[in-house]
Amino acid sequence: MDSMHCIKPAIISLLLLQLALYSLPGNTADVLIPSNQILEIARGKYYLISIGVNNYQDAFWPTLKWPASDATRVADQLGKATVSRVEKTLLLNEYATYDSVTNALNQVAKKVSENDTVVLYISGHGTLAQNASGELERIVVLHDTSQSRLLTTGLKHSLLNDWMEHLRAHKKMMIFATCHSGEGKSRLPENVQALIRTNKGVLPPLSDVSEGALVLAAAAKGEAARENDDLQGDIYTHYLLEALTVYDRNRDGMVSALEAHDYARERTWAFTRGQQRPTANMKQIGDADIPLYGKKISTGLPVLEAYDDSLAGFFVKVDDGVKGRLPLAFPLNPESSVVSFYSPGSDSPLKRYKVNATKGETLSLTDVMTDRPIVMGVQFRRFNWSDQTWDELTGSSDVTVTEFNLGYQWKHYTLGMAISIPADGSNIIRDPIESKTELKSQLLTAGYIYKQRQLTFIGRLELGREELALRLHDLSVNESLDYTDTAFAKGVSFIMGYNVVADFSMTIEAGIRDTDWHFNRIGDLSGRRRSISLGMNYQFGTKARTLW
Amino acid sequence: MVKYFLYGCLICLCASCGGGGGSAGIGVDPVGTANFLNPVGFTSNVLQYSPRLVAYSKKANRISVIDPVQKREIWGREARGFEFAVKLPNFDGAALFRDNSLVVMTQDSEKTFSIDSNYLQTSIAKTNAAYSLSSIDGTTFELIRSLGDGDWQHQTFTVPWGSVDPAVKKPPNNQPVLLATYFNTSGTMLAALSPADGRYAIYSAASESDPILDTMTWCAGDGIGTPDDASYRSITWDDTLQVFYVGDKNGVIYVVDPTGPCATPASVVSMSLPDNIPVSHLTVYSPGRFGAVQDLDGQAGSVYTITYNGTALALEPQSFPDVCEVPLSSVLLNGNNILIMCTTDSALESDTEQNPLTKTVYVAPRQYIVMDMTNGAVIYQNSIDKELSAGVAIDSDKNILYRMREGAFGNLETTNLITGERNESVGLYIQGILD
Repeated sequence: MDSMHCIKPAIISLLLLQLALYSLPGNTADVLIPSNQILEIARGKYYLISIGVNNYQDAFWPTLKWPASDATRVADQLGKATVSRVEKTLLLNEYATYDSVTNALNQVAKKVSENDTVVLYISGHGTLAQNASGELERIVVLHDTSQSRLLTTGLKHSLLNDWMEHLRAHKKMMIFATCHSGEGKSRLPENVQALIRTNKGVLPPLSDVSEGALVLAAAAKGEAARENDDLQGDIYTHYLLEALTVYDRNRDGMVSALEAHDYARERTWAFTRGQQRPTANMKQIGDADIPLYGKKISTGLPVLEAYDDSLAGFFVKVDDGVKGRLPLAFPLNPESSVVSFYSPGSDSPLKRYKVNATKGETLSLTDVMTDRPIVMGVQFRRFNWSDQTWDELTGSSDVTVTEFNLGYQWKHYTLGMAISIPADGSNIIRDPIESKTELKSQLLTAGYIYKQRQLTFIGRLELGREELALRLHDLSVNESLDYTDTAFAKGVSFIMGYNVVADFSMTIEAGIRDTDWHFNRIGDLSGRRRSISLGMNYQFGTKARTLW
Repeated sequence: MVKYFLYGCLICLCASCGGGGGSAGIGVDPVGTANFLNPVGFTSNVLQYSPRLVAYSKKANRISVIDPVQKREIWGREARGFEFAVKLPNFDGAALFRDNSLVVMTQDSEKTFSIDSNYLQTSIAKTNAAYSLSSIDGTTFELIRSLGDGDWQHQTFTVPWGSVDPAVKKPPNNQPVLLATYFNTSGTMLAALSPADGRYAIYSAASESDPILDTMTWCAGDGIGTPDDASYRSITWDDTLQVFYVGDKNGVIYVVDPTGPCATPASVVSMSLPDNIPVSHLTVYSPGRFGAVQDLDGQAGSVYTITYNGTALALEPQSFPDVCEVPLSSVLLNGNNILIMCTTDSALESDTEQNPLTKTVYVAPRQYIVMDMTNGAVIYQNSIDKELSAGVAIDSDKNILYRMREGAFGNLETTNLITGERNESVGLYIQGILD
């Protein structure tokens, strides 16, 4: 028999039965740590519900070999040596009926408070059922679940989601050592298989996760969760528990759920040669992480988390470490680390970032890769005027200004301001008149950003005020006429930037701007003009700096 | 030093100056002159009425017709190399003078009259475009005169008395001998005076559209006064009484009836001013009433008011003795006030512009002094830098002095001659520059 498949276990150890429906209150700390070194103070209880089902009343569900053992080991080890008092509920085999499980869930729901932690572990068969609206629904198969009455005798994921949603605890987690693919620890009714074959049934997502909740699953959507005799249990569960003693990633003395899951995911993926990819589902990474083992005795290394689905499959290397495949998290040096980002199959990094993080800090790779939000730059802008009067007043001379800009970028959008300082310039427009022009601008800008590798394209709107000072100097009598007017300015420009090095980029910009001034005796002066500018920008404002 | 004060831009042609009718109107550039043959000099008392002022900027090479009331440029164009400009009587343009030509210029036209010989003196009629330019040798003058409808009379006239021997009949301070000509108001009559011996000739036309004939009324003989005494220094025309008033170097004023019998020392109506010094300028205030300026180098000048009742001359009691260093001319303002325009001897020597060929000297006033005609009290006085003036006009009704400053921008100063309040409007040329 292939040990990688769901195997009906022989006989569940009777020793385990004594643990069924048995609560284990109290602190289970096995490691003595001086209290003055413990940084995290217990503020609540640790509720653990562990369910494992090897055998089933309905012969439709093949007997499994290790779920009860997995659940027992989980109940034994999760929460161990943490700062909280642990209250455990273990439901195995014939004790894991629909009524007993829902009763246990309800009991916990009644007891938990905001500072408590709740962990639900389930190992056994999973399946799918078509609900009244025709949609497929994930079902956890319990000891008394009938394949003909799945929706009433099986433990629906929707029910579990509701349960978790309404728990008052801030930290809550579900771990599913099950699958719904029809293989491994799963079997599907005929009607469901027919639906899937005809593509009429769509496999629902694992779950919608509530805020602060973490859902770990042994297998990705459509994959089989598997047991292995050599490991004597569910593969994912085996490595999850193994991680508790070997994978304190940030070296803070405590192994968290994400640390353990990352370890288990990598090992499972390697052990099954890529056939089983455990998943984690969460909305708020930091809040959802849950201590599984040990006590936090130091602030810990800063961590770079890279769980964004859009980055899955890419690789990251921190400093001279080993490349890790995403999703994953990486410890960082407390002072500064260089994070290299690779596409699959490439040894040349797409981007490199210099990240400064402090101990205990958690950074997101998505944030690191997001453009540094504050942009400061200088442009040398040359205006070419289309107004004939302007040409006559200035002898067709263009105006060059130095423009300083400060902006804030958020995703594809940018808001900012630009202030220009006029450069001195004069021209003999006709003997004996010399013309000198000064243009000052104070503009608010808003734009849309599109990036393509090291190129940045920005379409920008400009609104503000512009002051035009015109001095005509009569050289024959050494007299001057000064004209000054301030008017509303509006414009649009298109900017192309090239990231030269680090966060420095060179820009070239073309635009059109309109301002209508009025000068006494001269009349209206249409300020429509074309401009072209060269400049440079520097981006800053986050802990990460783009090296290139 | 004998002073040749030929200032061309200065034109005072108010009716009062012309002797015809009261004091209304704006006199543009009413500059007096110390030319010993004034009024045959460029002072010429030609009036330019509101609302026009001609400004010629040598520095910016621009001739411009200004509406000083609305403070805007009517038109302007480039004009280079001229000595001065006067306004055309129809207000549409300007006559610009230089050594070898006179150019009549409007916004859209330009007509050039070449001048054969160098000249030192000119007369300009008040109400018609009529100009005479006297030759330097005192024997000829050129007449340039509009006959209407674009027709012009341009003719060289030869005076009947021939050249004057400067060695015998030279004016004081060894200056060249001049021929003096002077138009009546409409330019239909021209008096030519021999400054050496007092003889004179009257040239006339049948109407404004007819040419002035070269057959003249020739008053030969001894002329007015003895030859040695008859060095005419000033002349003006009373358009109402139809007579010329002439002043000489000894402070004597004569009345010349151009249509009457030739005046002789015995028959001429004359009167002596208090001082035996030259009458440098005469200005008609109103019919039978005119002002006389007396000035001698190194002495302060004085201004007198004289009346003529058709038979005799009389001096009004209120005079303005020692009013300034060099009075140039006087203008009667509204409210029984008189404006006396002056310069200084030092200005004549150092701040004047000279034509190297003709030695003509143009002088603009530096001082504007307003005095009460009844008690002689000074009401207002002001000094300006003539180098920065491109054109000056006076509204004698409103007692306002308009001055266009030199330069390319067209900056107009407006000064109330009674209160001294001064405003400035800048950039009158700007729009024109951009056209």
